[in-house]
Amino acid sequence: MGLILSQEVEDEVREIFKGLKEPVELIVFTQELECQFCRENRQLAEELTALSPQLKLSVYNFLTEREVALEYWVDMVPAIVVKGEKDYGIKFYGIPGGYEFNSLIETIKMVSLRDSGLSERTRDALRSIKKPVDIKVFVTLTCPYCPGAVKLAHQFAFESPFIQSAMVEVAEFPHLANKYNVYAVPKTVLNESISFEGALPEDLFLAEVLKTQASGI
Amino acid sequence: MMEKEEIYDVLIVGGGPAGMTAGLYAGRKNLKTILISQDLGGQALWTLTVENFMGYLSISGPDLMAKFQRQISSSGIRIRVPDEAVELKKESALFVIKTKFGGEYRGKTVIVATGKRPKRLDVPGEKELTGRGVSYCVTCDAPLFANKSVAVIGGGNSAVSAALDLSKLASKVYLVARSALKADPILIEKLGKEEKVTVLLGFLPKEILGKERVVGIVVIDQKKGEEKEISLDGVFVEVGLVPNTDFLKGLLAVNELGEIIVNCNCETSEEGVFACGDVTNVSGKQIIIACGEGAKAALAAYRYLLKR
Repeated sequence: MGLILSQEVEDEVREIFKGLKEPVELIVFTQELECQFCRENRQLAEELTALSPQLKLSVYNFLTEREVALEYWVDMVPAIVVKGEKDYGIKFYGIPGGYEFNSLIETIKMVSLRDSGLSERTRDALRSIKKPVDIKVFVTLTCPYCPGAVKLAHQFAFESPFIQSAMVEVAEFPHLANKYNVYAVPKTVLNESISFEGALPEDLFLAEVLKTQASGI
Repeated sequence: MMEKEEIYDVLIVGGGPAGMTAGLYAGRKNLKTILISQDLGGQALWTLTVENFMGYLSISGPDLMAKFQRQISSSGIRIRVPDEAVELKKESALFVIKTKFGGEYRGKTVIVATGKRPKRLDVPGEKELTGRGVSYCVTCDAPLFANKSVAVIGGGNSAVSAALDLSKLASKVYLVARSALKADPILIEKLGKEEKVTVLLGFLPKEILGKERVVGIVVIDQKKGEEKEISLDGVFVEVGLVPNTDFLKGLLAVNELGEIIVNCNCETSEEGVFACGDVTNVSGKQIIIACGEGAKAALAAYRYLLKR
């Protein structure tokens, strides 16, 4: 039993991780003098990686190893990048605890199976994406609707090399909540210009993402 | 669209304990079924601890609902989440459901399990500022109001609990109640110890102020007949629940509370439409009762389809 995960949760996750197929790397960014959440975030990733031989952990110092942070487009801590045979641009900013723990587990599963699970129609449409799309999903750890929105964003990032997605836990990044006027969660922001509250079904979310391909957005 | 031509045996509307149990039973009877819902779990997702669902001494609502989800995910039924029925009508021998996100589904029977939702205040500013400071979910949105000033509207258990939860984060909490607090004495006692909370008894909300986001609220002192304006960042509405029956547009008979009237076999006033859970007039709004009703509704739909 770890400091963060209870025996019961560990057993349950170990069972889920039996279904992992390919290796997954959790890349954790922290800082020298760890803030409380940085420490817990690293600890969580350490405890998780111990639960499956398919998982590998790398820890970097955000301040002294800037070049690695830049390589993964990580611009704040705590952060976890979930990487498979390549970096898909999938990130968690802030500790994925509470309901977001499920998002992290689902994302690890998706990356390990190397399958986004999106419909054929969505995959086809995503192949037409040629301009970068940055997706931010603002969440709180007590919001039951949020993991649905996070999962979908990460599925899109997995599928398209032009899409990056990040979960942002608002309690840890209040300045971003202010900047993006987050007064309800989940709130999704696409390329700093399109935003909406609530979890959307796959086809509707796709329609929003495709809007970013219009010129000027 | 292919989808529109498909005909289901059962259209289940709602994915709380009643809807999910109905889905499981329908799946096990090999009925071609689709379940349409905003979420899987419904009101149970907001329940911190459940201690009266047999088989579990104590479990959180979300954990219990995660188990339900797992159980129905292998039942063979189609699940359309998140979406929401906006219209139910009858077209010759079939029922047609239209959804918020543009879906249209046809079926021989319907099971309505849409539960209840938070009641609105119906004051100016409320609708426009929802998601801009007006919230109906304290658990979801409380962290967004750390060190901010908020009001909770209502005087029951959920309102007082909300005020107590918020007082741990917010800089100031006003509890606005139209009459004496109806919450349990133990909660009211806790409230009295919270320095950050100001209780405004006998006050009615008149308007929520703000353009881009909430900046304040106007309340009326019912005794003096005076208006008072309070500067705020957030308003949490906790004034009770109403049944989700808008999409039925009067198709089914309801009682004075707007709940669908069912008989002991979950049959409604419309042949082929069944209802279960908190949206019905069945007394006892409990997870375990909703599950039992969901099972009954699916079995009733199955019997109905056999006879047709």
